[in-house]
Amino acid sequence: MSLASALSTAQSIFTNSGTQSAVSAKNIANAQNPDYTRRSAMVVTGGNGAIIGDITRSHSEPLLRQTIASSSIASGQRTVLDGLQEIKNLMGGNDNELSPAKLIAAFRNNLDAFAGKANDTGIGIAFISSARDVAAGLNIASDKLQQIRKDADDQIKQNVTDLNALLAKFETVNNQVKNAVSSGTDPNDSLDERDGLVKKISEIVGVTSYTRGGNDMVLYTTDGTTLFEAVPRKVTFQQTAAFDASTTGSGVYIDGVALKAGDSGNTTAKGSLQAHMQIRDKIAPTFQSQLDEIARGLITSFAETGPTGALLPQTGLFTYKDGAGVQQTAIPAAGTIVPGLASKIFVNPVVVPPAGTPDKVRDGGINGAAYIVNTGGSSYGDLLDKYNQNLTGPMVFDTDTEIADAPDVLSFAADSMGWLEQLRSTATAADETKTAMLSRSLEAFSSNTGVSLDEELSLLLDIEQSYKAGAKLMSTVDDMMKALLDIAS
Amino acid sequence: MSIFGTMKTAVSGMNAQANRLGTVGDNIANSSTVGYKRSSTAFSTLVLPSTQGSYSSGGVETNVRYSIAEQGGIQYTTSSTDLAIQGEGFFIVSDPNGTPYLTRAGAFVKDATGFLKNTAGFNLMGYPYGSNPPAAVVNGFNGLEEININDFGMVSSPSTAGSFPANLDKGAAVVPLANRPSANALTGTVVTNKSSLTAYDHAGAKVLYDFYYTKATASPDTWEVSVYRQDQATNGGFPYTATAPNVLVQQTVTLAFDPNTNKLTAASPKAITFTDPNDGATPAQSITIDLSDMTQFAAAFTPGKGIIDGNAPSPITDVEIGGDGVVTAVYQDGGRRPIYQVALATVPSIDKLLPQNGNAYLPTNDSGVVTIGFPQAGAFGQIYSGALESSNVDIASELTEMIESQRVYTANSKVFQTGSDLMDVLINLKR
Amino acid sequence: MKTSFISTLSIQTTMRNSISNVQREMVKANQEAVSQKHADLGVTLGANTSRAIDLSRDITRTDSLLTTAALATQRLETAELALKSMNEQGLKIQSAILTLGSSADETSLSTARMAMSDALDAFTNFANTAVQGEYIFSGINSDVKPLDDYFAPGSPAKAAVAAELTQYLSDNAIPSKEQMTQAQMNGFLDDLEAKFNGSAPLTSPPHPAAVAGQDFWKTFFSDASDENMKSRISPTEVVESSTNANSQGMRNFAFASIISMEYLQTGMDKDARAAVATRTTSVINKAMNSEGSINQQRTSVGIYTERVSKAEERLRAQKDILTTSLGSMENVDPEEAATRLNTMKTLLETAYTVTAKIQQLSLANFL
Repeated sequence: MSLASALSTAQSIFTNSGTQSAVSAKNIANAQNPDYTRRSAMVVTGGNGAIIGDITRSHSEPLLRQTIASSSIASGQRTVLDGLQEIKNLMGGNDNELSPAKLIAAFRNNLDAFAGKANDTGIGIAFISSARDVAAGLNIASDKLQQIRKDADDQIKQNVTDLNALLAKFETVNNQVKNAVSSGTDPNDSLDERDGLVKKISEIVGVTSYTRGGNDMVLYTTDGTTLFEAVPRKVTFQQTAAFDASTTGSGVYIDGVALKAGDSGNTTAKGSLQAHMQIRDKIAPTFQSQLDEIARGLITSFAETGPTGALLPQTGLFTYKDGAGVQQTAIPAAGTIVPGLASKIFVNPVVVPPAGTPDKVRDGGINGAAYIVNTGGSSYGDLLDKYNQNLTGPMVFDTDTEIADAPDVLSFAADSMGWLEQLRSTATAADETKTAMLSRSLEAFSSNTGVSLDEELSLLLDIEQSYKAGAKLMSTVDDMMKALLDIAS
Repeated sequence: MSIFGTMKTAVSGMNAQANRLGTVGDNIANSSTVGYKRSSTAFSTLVLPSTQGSYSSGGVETNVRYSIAEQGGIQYTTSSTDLAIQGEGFFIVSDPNGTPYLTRAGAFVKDATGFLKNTAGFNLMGYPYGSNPPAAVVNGFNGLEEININDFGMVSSPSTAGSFPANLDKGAAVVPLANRPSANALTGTVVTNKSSLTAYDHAGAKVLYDFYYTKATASPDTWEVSVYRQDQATNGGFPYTATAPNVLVQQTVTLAFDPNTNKLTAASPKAITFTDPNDGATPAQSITIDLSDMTQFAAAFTPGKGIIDGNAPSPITDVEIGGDGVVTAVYQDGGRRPIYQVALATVPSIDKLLPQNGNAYLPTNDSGVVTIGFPQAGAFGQIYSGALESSNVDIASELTEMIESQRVYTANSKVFQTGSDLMDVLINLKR
Repeated sequence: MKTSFISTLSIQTTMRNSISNVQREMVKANQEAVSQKHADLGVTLGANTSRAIDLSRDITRTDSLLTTAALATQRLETAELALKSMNEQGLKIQSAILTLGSSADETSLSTARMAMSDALDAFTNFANTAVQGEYIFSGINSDVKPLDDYFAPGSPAKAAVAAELTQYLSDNAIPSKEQMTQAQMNGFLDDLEAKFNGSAPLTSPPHPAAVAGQDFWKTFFSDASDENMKSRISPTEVVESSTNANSQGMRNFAFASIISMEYLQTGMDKDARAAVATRTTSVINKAMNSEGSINQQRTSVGIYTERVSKAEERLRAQKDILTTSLGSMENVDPEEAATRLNTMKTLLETAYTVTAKIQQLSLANFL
């Protein structure tokens, strides 16, 4: 061993300390970066002194998996809850004041009042006005519900675009990782970026990942469809321009396989994509069918059947337009949803003042003289009472509404709110659980892979010590050389 | 015995020390030269015949020696093409005329034409790596080439084999024959599960193959695995079609599962092999995907780690030289391919090699015959990538030697001066 | 290699999360303490929302039924008052005919006629009683005054009665009503009574052909509908909340008062006059006490009133029960919410303190 080799060993101390403090500095700089995984420079004994063998990441595959899984579950649940909240907002605040159930209840009170004092035109006008509130409430709810579907559709489009962009970026980063691994350079930054991308992807669609040789990552959706393998798989989606009750949104295809929509309040959706599909294809359409059945129930309850009840039933107070905007008189078939009826129901103009008169409801005859029931006088309340009784009379509903066991249209309207709130309640509870699970796994992941400033600072002290020792070594060797040179001169 | 003789002896002593000082000077000058091996002097006596009572002073003869065999310290650098040898081997390099030399100076850099050139301008030589590791020609430089990275710009290798493990859901619905993907029908196809793998054809193009898994029968448990080429799908679905000259790629096997182990039965096929002649190569590309790790538990379809070989054409972004001297080209997509193996040479008497400019050595008769082999074999030693062998000069010992040499030179000059003084006395006798 | 098991980021995130959790809970607790209802009813009730909506709908329904019932009570009480007064007028007619009907002097007879006309006038007024724009004796035709005023100039009722007499006289070749015998008078009164109580239809002549075959009373005297107003006083019960002026009692009252007023005259044959007095006595008795009489109307009005008031009681009790059950679903215990708010406040303060303390802890401060 010569003095020169002692010098070169001392030099390696400086190189190592430099690298180590650079790594530490990077750790400290990224202490607040949630996607950053802590690095440490591993020192190994080399040919002469010590060398930095490798810069390793404090990576935890199981925790990352768990984080990815819980983030897609939480994102899906959050999206479903947001959608339900949006639908609920259509129904008003805590008291559901805009819900068909409440509007019909108010309408019915006016009907009661009108039936009790049938000659009072003021009450009659109030009654018609509340009937129009009901029809308008149904129209607005139905239209906005379709707007929510359209929004969900737009969101799906956005998600698919994002997903494709993320996958393209993932390919680049994955290649960087493969490159770095095979060329022996530091892949850590790319690995961090890749893990971050997987997290982002998992918010859109649930993924499972596998690592092949050369740290090449393969992504599958939780359904088992290939999402990324060497190249990103195509994610395709056809946006729908406009929605009405009979529109079916188009599907999302990943690698040619249709993505399934989520299901139930405690949703099975993993990632926002499935959740948006659940809103668009399941929750909103079912709620729409309930609105349609409420509309049908109202039209049927107020159907005119003439003095003896033997005439062909025709639409009375409530009527509707067909697709072409033409007013209809036929009563829709019992127990069958008429898609979009809720958006087409309106109060028959012949009973709306000033052009029309509420008395036509009281006396009958909206559909012509044959249907006139009362000729006796203005305090005739029997027909109104009959309509009133119809509202609580037995009615058959379509089983597709999921609440077909409701006995009458009033209960059906209330059950519809119950159905929505049940979903929302379940979704809220599930959201709390899943969010808690996500923050727990993020915490565990961050605790295991993140940077602890105190640890870095104490490591910096170590580095400082060895640097000082190296410097001491160097100055000693330098003194020795100097002594030698002094002799030589 | 003569005074002149004594003076001559002193002169020879002074010459010897001058030589010695020369080597010290060289050593100190090259103390930072990569791969420099220090030189030293050794002295031997020259004796004149003497008689009893008469001494004839002789002289000293200088022999220059090179400590070529002495290992220098390893210094780490940041370039992966910096190489250091720990052991007795030498890099084989060639000068621009093609003459082979040996050297320990491993500071190689890729030059504009793709050669790995060291500081002195010598190109590194090695054996080209074919499909098999090269064999060294033990006693000659035949077969060695100057390593050129640029020759390996774009390469690809077609896929031939892969594996795909997965769990197929035992509870999946049985699909009638006409509705299975294997029927490749226009309508009514039921897709139970699907995955896809990227393979490379002979041109290195990425080709996606769709794999469909369909439960065929529940008792016994059999599954159909059908493979299609994805770009032959109609709007991303069935049927898969090809118009001439393209050929439809379609293959189906039926896997049988053992209800006890939920793994493939002994009699079941364990792989699916399909040929894809669409790249025009002869013989047609045949890919075998190993399915032996398929399981059938009552759990959702869970694909495992799908692997397939082959790589796409991409330029070399880097080369990597391993401890065994294998030069591996690293391609942009992360693929790797060994392209050369660096050979090392050694001789029986290393110190007798003839130094040349640029830290290079030539074998001589004294050094013995060159033996060529690979790193990590025999006495050739090991190659460190990203490291350099520093010179084996120790300044401290050179300085002490210099002081010693100075003193000895002075002593010799005193002898000469004394002789001269005696001659003066002698000449003055005549006056 | 990583030696610590907590990262700086995770410490900070955890503390931030716990603080924001507590803050969120606080907002909820505050809202509940103030509104005394669950902060998010839908989430708390879930599927029970439909029951809550049913309950609140039933409560407002009960309210509207109570309003209807109050309206019915008002109608019925007014009707009762009017019928009672009619009854009193009937008693006056009875006593007048008893004391004066058999006398022959003009003074007594004119007093009797005066009593009759007063009674008829009062009767007409009572029958035309209106409450809140509704004539309560009009049946469902409540916009129209039920009885025509017999004494009004050009009264069609008076003309119709005169026409009946003229027709009878000419049919039986009687020169004038003064020459009618007791038998003839009885024959005429039989005819007229049948016309009044609706058992015989109108004939032409003497009346226009357009009204032939119709009810004399409804054509010339009453515009009331036979059909009474109805009120729903409970989800299952509908009562008649008015009566009408077409009852036999009303008809008989008018018949009795009109014949005695018109035919108890000194110029009439004594026996015929006696027949008129006898008929008046019997008919006014029928008006007050027989089938469809005023007193019977009173009875049924009383029964309706009682049903309405019972229904009101039931509705009130029902409303209390409904309100209680709705409250138990929707309301929170304000003390509980306030206590929770306090606990949250303490928690939050603790969290702030701990966060501040931990944030100050760093190795950097000691280097």
